[in-house]
Amino acid sequence: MRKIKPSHIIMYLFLGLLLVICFFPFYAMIINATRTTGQILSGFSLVPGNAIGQNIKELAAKVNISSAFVNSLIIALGATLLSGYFSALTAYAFVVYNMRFKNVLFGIVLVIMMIPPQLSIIGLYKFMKEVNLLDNYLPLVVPSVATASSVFFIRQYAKTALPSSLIEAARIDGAGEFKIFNRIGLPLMSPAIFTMAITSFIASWNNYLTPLILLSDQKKFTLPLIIRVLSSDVQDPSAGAMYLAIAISILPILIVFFIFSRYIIDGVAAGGVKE
Amino acid sequence: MKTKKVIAGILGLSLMLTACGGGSSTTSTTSSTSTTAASKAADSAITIWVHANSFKTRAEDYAAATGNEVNVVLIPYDDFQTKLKQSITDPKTTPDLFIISRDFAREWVEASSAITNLSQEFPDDIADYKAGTYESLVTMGSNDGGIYGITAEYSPGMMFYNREVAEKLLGTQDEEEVAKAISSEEKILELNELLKAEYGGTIKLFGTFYNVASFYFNSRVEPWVKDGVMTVTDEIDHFMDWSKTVYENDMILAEGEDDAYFNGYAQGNFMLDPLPTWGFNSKVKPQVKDSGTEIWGATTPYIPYVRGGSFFFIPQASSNKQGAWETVKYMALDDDNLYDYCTSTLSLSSSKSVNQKLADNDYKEPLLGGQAIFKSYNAESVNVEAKFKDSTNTTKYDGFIAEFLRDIARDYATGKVTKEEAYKDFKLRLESAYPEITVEW
Repeated sequence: MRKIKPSHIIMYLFLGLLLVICFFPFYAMIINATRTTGQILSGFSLVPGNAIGQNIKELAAKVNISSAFVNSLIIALGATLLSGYFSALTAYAFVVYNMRFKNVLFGIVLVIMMIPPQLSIIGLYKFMKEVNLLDNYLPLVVPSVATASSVFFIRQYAKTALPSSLIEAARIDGAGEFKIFNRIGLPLMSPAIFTMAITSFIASWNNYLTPLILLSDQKKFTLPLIIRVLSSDVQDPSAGAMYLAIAISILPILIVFFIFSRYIIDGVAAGGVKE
Repeated sequence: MKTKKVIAGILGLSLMLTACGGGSSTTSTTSSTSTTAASKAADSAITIWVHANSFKTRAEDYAAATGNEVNVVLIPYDDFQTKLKQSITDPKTTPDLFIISRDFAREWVEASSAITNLSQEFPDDIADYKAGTYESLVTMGSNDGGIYGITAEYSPGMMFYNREVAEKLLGTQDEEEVAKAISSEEKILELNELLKAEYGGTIKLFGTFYNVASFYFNSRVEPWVKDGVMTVTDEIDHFMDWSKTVYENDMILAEGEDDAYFNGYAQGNFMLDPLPTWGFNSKVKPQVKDSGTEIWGATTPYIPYVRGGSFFFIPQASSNKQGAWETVKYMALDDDNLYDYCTSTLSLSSSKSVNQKLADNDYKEPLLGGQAIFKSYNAESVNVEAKFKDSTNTTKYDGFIAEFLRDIARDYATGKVTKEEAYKDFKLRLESAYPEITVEW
């Protein structure tokens, strides 16, 4: 029998406390999704209410939550796939090839990383208006092709994960560059790609500003917009419906995180391993 | 490899040229859109932008009743102005109709190049509107002799009061007697002393400082900013002193509209709350309906004020003004629809005849202790109309001004700063937010 030390007890208590603190907001949100607006505005409760049916009806009457869910899913999945693949492609090029002006180009990537997205939103809106792409998902998905932070992270990982000998061997065997990337590069870089893909999915799923600026058709609204609409109606507050919408909106993120959390841990630890 | 570089270069250049050269093609597209738009029939689909679900429901009722197609877009309140300004001048992106809070209405009335002059476009209907509504609403929606915005709602400010506490302190819960007992600040202070003696501080006089501030701010007749100058008037100075009195005498339950405030309605933890007519449906009813706390009533506040209400505007760039106007008429000018809306939400309409009918029907609201609430609203509307009939008291700066005034009043009231320091801080903050304004006192 392993001896239980006092330090272990303290550690477990501390971790338990951290668990409660981290989980408590989610618990509060789920509880509020089952209470009426009046109950929510009047105070907090640890006990679930019995108004979930009423909240579902209220939510369905006010907004089209399923359409918003599908819209968010389409945009987030599209952006994640494009971001993951093309960021890996760019990072691969930075690692494997010794091209002219490589350092300058990488410097440009670093500079772009530091530009806050809010600065480019006006230019993006004007550009999309000129090319008649407002009220369209393309400007929400396609720009993810160039995600500077993903390129940076995957490049750092690829420097240690991609042995040049393997690339050379593949070339000697007659494989083309693109085939080498898809067959060898992608699998080796997959922990970093998954890590950045999860981050990219969460960022795209929670993105409020860009859809607000670019979309005006209610049918194309995403979940963050719908939730904000519910929360900002001062004349007809629907706190119960709003919490229910929030609970629905975090489901995909929870699913993605639980399935791919192993890759996040691998990806975070990856930079510390030296060959 | 060289070929790939050349192709990549050509693709990049053509992308840049598309963005730069898009203007001319867009112009021709706009022209053809305008031509096409001009020939659209009045009953083709219209797009309405709203920030409140109640308008969405009514627009959908219009669509169901008439068979006309309506696309209602619900946009968050805080971002509504930004989105409108970005889209309103382009026929491709503008809504055909938008409904916006009174707080922002004046800004759009004065942006007459972007908004349809309804007096010119629909003179007969506007003449009927003017004849049947309140002068203050006509004044609010007019600029240079033309009406640009109309409203479906009149929102005089009321004072909601706790009947049980009133009975205990004053021996009556009659709205007129209570109005007499709160008819001045001196009487309010006396009432507060009675309250403290009776309840030992467990029940406070006012629900929130936020609503007290809104009450004072919305009682102004003149706009805060005139010709680029914000003057700290005697009214504002008096509000600062009153805030200090309120805090020193421990008269408020909560700072803002938080859990304590809403719970206060359910539990009866405060006595007075200045809210306009629409306040019952959004703030009082959700609390008292479930808890069955039918202890509230509404009476005349000691200063007439008007707060909220929404105005309808048709952008100049709209390609379906007639369709938009038909929707406006259904939602804002049809007496039967207005009557139904008011009875379901316990608010007051912009039509005098509808309001008289509401009062004459002698409806008694059970959640307000059986009060003939429309009679009370109508009585207060006389005071409000007398005060505000020539007033256009809102500007685009009001949101920040109100926020900064509340902050400095709180700091002064709690003794953190002197009045002079508070005004200097206010000047710094407002002039930083709006460099085109000067603050004077």
